[in-house]
Parts: sequence; structure tokens; C-alpha cells
Amino acid sequence: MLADAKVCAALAVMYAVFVATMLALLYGGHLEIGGGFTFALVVACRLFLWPFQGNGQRVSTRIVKEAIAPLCGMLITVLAALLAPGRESSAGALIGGGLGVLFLTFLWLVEARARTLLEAMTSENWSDEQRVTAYKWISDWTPHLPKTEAEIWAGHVSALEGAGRYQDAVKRFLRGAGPHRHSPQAGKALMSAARAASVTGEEKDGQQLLQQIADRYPNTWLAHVAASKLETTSENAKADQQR
Amino acid sequence: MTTWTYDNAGRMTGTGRAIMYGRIPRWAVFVGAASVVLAPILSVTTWGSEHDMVSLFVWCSGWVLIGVYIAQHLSGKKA
Repeated sequence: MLADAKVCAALAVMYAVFVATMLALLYGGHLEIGGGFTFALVVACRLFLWPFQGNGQRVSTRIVKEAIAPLCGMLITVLAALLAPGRESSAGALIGGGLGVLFLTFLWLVEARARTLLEAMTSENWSDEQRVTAYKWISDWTPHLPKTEAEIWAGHVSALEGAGRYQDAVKRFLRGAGPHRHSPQAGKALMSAARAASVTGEEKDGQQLLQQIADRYPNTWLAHVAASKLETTSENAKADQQR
Repeated sequence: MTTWTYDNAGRMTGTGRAIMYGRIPRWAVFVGAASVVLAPILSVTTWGSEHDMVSLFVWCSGWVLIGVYIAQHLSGKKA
């Protein structure tokens, strides 16, 4: 928490210097440079919002940075343009800030697509080839770590399963589940690992894995997913027996 | 500080879900509509002609927001 406060203070100082420089440049008539600084200021929104993303375990806190940043950028651009004296200075701020907002929006959409693919990989009935291609896209387009560690780990489990490396997927899940036991991604990875376990051996292996997880991490999201999956499996088995 | 909502399956709902998957939240359309309406009024009454480009910027941004929302809505990508 203290480290976060220090980072916030340092970023606030840096941001204040940025604002002062931008206004000085706009007032001094250096329109292109002022526009450039407005651009930098808008893009720096993402950095400035970084301390508010929490510990990276929860997706909900991280999306603040992604989607709020373009919104803040828009406000900064309008304010800079209003404060800038004269039409030309105003135009410089609008062009620079507008480009910054576009850039942030682009980053938001890329990250949103990566997340959509990640979700689809683990929950939809995709072919192995599609999963591996999707994971490659995510790795190529979002190397700047917009994903939480939980997502990356869950993506690995799913990609390994998709590539037919079923044993590896289960092993990877068991290695990585612990720290992310409260994350929805862990639930998705559990589904993936349970599928992998049922492919490698018997359906029983998958059930054992689910039971193991439910016992090992009680009162967590992971345990909840495992329990509901076990319930569904047991209901299906009963229905089969009745038939 | 987070006020995100989740459904029973642990999936995020509402604004959080819209933002996560690159959709424009419904309330943002009202912000867009407000921009479209207010920008010309502010230009005439408060900001003056010196900042008419700012009004144009805000006005266009409002339309972009509304347009993208409608496009996503029509293509089935609702929040």
C-alpha cells in the first residue's frame, strides 16, 4: 500500500511537470511541440492509472486502466484545448490529444480482443488448431503484459490442452492453481484441465482432479466451480444409469 | 474502489463486462448524446468562437460514440 502511495506521488509530480510544460509550450506558440506534449500527456494517462489496477489478480481492477484511460485522455484534450490561447494553440492540443485518445482506444480494443479470445479458448468448442492460433495472436499482440498472471497461466493450460498435450495441461494446472484460487480464470483452467484428464485416462481422473481441487481450496471460486462441475457430472451419470 | 457486478457463474456483468470485451456501455450513449447536444450550446453561450474547434471535437466524439454503439448493437455485440 505504501509502495502504491509512493508510486502515485511520483507519477502525480511527473504528471504536473508534464501539464506545466505543455501549457508553457502552447502559450509560447510552439504549437507542434505543445500538441506533441498533449499527446504524451494523454498516453501517460495509462501509466498514471497503473497504481489503481490492484495486485493484478483481478481482471475487474485492471480494466479501469484500459478503458478509463481514453476517457481521461479525452477530458485532458478538451481542457488543454480550452486553456490554450487562440485557435492555433487550441488546434495543436486537439490534434495531439485526439491522436493520443485514438492510440489508447486502439490498445483497449486489442486487449479486449485478447480477452475475448482467451475466454472463447477455454469455454467454447474450438478445434485444437483454432486454440493454438488464438493463443499465438494473444501472445503476439499483447506482449506488454496487459493480462493478469492468472490469465496467462490459464491460457497456457488451455493452449496445452488444445495442442493435444493433455498431461502437460493437467500438470501445469496443478502447479499454477494455488496463487489464483480466487480468480475466475482458475475456474476456466480447471474445466480445461478436467477435460484433459478425462482424455488422458478415464472420466474418473477428471473427477478426481475436481474433487482434489475442491478439497484443497475450500471456500474459493475454484472450489465452487469444481463442486458444480462434479454435481453436473454426477447428475449425468445418474441419468445414464436410469437409461 | 471496485463496484463491478458478477453473475452467479462468476462472470462480470454490466459496464465491467462491456469494457472487458471492447463494447461501448449503454450509459456511454447518453454521454455521447449529451456531447452532441451540449457542445454547440456551449460554443454559442460560454466558450465563444475562439473555442469552436473544441466544440466540434466534442460534438464529433459524441457522434462517434453513438455510431460505434449502434454498429455494435446491430452486429449483435451488445454489452
